[in-house]
Amino acid sequence: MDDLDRALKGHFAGRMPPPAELKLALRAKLNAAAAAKTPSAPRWMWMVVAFEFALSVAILFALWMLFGQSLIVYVAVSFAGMSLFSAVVLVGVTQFMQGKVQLGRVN
Amino acid sequence: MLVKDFERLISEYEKDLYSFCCYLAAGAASDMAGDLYQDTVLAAFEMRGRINPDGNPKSLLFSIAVGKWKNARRKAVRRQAIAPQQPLEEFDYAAAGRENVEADVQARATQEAVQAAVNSLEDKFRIPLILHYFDDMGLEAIGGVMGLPKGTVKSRLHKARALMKVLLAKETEGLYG
Repeated sequence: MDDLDRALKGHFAGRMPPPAELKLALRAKLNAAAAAKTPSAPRWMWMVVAFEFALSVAILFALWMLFGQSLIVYVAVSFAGMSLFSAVVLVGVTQFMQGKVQLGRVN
Repeated sequence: MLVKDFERLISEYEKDLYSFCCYLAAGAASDMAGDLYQDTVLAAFEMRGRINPDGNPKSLLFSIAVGKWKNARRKAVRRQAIAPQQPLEEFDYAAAGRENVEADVQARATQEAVQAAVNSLEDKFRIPLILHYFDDMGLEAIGGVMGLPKGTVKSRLHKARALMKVLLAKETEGLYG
C-alpha cells in the first residue's frame, strides 16, 4: 500500500448516517408507496383485445382458405392491425394509470 | 421481500449508502446527496420483490445509486445552465467519527487536496475509485455495480490512480511522486 492508497483509504473512511429529517421524509414516502395500490386495466378489456385479435386471425385464415387473396383479405388484415393498435393503446393507458408514464415524461 | 424486511435491510445499510451518496455527490448541489439517497431507497423499494437478502443487496443498492447519480448529473448539467446552484458543503469528517482530523492540520490539508482531486475526475474514473476505496470492492464487484467487464474496471481504476497521482502531486509537492 503506497501513499496514494493510504490517502484515499483515509479519505473514504468516513461514514455518516442520514440526517433525521431525511429519514423522516423517506419514511413518509415509503409509507405512501406501500399504501398506494397500482391500478391496472380491467380484465375484460384484455379479453376484448384478445378476442378481436383471435377473430381477425380466424377470419383471415378462413378467407384465405376459401377464396385466396382478395379485397376482403385486406379488410381482415386491417382489422388485425386495429386490434394490435388497440392493444398498444391499452398498454399505454395501463402504464399511465400506474403512474409509470406521465404526459411529456417517461420514468 | 416484505416491507418490514425491506426496512430492516435499509437500516442495516443506510450508513454505507448515505455516505456513498455523499461521496458521489460531493461537489454537486447541496441537496443532491439527500435526494440521491431518497431516490435510491425508493427505487429499491419498488423492486423489493426481486431483492435477494442472501445475495449482495449492498451492491444492488450501490448499483441503483450509481444509475440515479448518472441521471441526476445529466439533469443537473441542464439545470445549472438555467439556474446555477451552490456546491455541497464539505463532508463532515468529525461527525463521521474521526474527531482527531481537525486537530491535525496537515491531514486536513491532505484530505482537502484528495477531495478536490477526486471531484475533478470524470465519473467513469471517479465511481470505480470511490467503490474500491470506500467499500473495498474488487474488480468484479465494481463491474457488477457499474455494468462493466472486469478488464474495463481494471484499466479505469489504473487510469484513475494515475490521474490522482498527477493531481495530488500538483497540490502536495513530492508527497505522491
